[in-house]
Amino acid sequence: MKKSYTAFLASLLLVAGIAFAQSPANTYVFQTFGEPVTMDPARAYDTGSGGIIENVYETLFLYDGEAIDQFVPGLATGYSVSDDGLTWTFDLREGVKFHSGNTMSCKDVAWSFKYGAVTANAEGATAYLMGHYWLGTQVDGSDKDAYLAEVTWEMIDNIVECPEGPDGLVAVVNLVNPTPALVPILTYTAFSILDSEWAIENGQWDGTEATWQDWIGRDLTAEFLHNNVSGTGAYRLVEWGTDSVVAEAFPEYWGGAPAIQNVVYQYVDEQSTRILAIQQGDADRILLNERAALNQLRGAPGVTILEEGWYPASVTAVFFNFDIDTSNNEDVGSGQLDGNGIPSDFFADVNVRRAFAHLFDQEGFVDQIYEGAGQVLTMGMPPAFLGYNPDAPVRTLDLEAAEEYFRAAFDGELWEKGFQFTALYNSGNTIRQTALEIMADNLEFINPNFRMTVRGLPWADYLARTAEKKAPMFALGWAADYADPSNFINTFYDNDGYYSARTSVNVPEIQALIDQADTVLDPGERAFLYRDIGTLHYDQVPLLAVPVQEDFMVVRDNLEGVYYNTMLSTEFYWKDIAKR
Amino acid sequence: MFSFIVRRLLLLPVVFVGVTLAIVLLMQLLTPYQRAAAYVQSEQQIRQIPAIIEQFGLEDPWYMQYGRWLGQVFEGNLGYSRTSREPVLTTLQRRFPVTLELALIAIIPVLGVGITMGTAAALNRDRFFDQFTRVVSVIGWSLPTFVLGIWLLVIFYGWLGWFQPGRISTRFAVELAGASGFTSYTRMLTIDSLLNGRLDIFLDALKHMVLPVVTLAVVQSAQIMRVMRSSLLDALGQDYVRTARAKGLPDRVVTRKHARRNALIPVITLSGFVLIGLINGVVITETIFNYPGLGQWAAAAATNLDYASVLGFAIFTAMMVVFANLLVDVLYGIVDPRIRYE
Repeated sequence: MKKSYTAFLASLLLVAGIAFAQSPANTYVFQTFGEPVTMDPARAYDTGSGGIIENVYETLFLYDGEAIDQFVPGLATGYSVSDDGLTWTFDLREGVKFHSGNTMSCKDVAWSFKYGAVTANAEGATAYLMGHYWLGTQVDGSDKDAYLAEVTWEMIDNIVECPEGPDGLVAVVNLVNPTPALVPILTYTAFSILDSEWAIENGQWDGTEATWQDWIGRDLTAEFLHNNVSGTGAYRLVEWGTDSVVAEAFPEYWGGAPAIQNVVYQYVDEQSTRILAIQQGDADRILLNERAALNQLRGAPGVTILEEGWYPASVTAVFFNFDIDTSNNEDVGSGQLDGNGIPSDFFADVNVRRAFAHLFDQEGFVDQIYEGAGQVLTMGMPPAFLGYNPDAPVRTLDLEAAEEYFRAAFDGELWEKGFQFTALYNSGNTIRQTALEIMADNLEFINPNFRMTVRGLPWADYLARTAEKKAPMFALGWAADYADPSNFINTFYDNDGYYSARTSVNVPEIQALIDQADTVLDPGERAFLYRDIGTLHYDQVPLLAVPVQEDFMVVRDNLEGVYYNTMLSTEFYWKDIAKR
Repeated sequence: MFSFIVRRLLLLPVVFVGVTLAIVLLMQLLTPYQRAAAYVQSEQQIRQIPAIIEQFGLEDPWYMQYGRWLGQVFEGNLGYSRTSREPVLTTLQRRFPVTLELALIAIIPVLGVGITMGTAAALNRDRFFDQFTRVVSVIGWSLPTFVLGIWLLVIFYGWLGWFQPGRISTRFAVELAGASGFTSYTRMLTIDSLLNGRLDIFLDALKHMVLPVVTLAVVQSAQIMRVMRSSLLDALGQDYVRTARAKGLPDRVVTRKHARRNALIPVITLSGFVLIGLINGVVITETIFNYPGLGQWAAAAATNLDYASVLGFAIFTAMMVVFANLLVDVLYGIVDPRIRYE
């Protein structure tokens, strides 16, 4: 008994005694959370998938380091555009190999774009981002009949032409509606170039008219491309396992061999485990759930916290509903301007919106909620985007101004009668909650007859409530798909934009500028138009932009080449980093 | 015995329908919009909700949804797991061996420590060791798993750097990813590594199991310890033990051959459920130690309202419970000759 006990202890010590190797020098280990949903670019619309896809696949153009408005040649070396902005001719890079060994040419560009347009996956981004431009409709594939009512094979076939033949190196993209944002949009992972021969060999769409209808709205998670990758990226996918992704350098990459041989993404839900891993050197980078956790890592040997004034390409805003559905709506009280509720057009009055904007303490929010690590926004767009107007004035806490605007609203009737309503946020999102509560608290000082309550709803209920236009005021956000102002301006301010279905936003002066900006190709001219929208944002307050919090990165100090490109799901291309 | 086993197995469909029906009805408490919203991860995807409702027929009456799912099950399809982005059956096949491996290794210290300490406590009734084991078992049983897990992680990983979380070190993970030289026979890394002649991987896998096994053992062995103690105390007071002593048998023989054997019967019952508990209840342990087993998957699936995965996991659990019950009953007959099944 004694002997076996000793042997057990000895073996335990032996096991424990094997020193843990830190993350190997040729391997980059990233511990994060939020696993990829798919490897198919036509289906992916999440950062988990995007972080892998943007490194194993490539698009026609790539981001240039930190710059989000600079694009460098990727699989295209250059392009020209017709005067009407409808015909874009891309020169493709010569000698690019896919991971399968096939050579990239125009047929791959054509197949990839057409595959995205045909599958039009409702959970993907192709129909939403490009449908309007290359088919004239954003209809997705979830309703096949509706799709077929608007889309024909001729329209699909027209999307890309190969004037030099399928194996040529010129691809012509035909649009039916012009957009100045085509290059930024096509740099999004949804428009990655796939290996058509390899895909067809493995049972994917054969690219012909005979079968295209079979692929409309097909469940792509059951398809080969969901799990398998043959891209042109600097890394090839080795394994997408239960809780990790492993990739290795692609020796035939056109841009030369990257410094890091292996990349391992480990999906670790428990934050404390990730923190210990970076301290131990088992991870080269970790993702934290919240900024407060940084305090556990400050001063940790071997760990570097990068805080270099980076801001994410996302905006959180408080939205005003211009046309509230007041029927059976507990959040608007009586639904009348009688002191016990609000009418449906409550926020259509610009003075009401202006007054609410003066209830929010912008600088105070940055100082107290973000502990100084934040930035006030002058409009509903990230500061790094083209046309952001840093000089536009910002309405901030000013109770006298708020009172003045409230007195002017509804020709003075509002001030006399008072109002009450409920503003909404999704439970658990403390930033959104706090923003609304600040306004509710300050409102009490204005007029005792003004009452605003704030309530949180579970995510699903919250979405339903806003979709039904029953939420009078709510806090929600948007993260950029592509680096162009239209991705925010049209989304937030356009009366036909994404948020209009929840807010019925309608400011004619802004709408005129949006319509104009959509047709102008010159970036300088567009920038002016968007800057004007920034100025009008101050005057018309269609929404209230909440300050943005500074972003950070936690890495081991031997990791080199790290930069922050807010448009990339994983902030930098793996091929650009190295380890000392 | 045979007819007993058949009768028990006939219970399976009843348990299956009961469990799945309960889950389906519970899910109906959520509106179709709420269930569809679980698929949505960002503001961008909000627009897809109506399509998701349509695609999965979430507005159909519950019996239609249940019938549809049941039809799939009879075709051998448990549905698609959004959480693991593969068929539920594939996930069960892939993850079950991982958890089973952990549970089988954990059951050794759980039973070893529990039975040994429980026996010693009973034999030293009301003495120091007995009081000590009582305190230890209360602490072990009441200590939240996540607290113990984090402590162990901070001490043995954060401070001492002895044991890592995860299932295998990165260098081996990279080596094994897509490697053709390593065959996965059982999906249990310790066994597969030995079968492949890779002692280094075997030791590495074993080392990764130390902290989760200790966490599970501390909590679960407390239960065994308590039952073993009281059961042995009960047995020691029986007439047959007194008779054995009167016959002049040495204390050691009386305890081992007579009292302990009988005292083990409730422990056997319990250990069947402890094993099931280890397999199905390692949610927190697997999450803290980033161990890619069933528990980690089930926790994520429940959080995501992943209907198919939750149902698949529930069926699997129910079947495990039925089989464990059966196994325990059969073991009864072997341990206790008085029990007959006719």
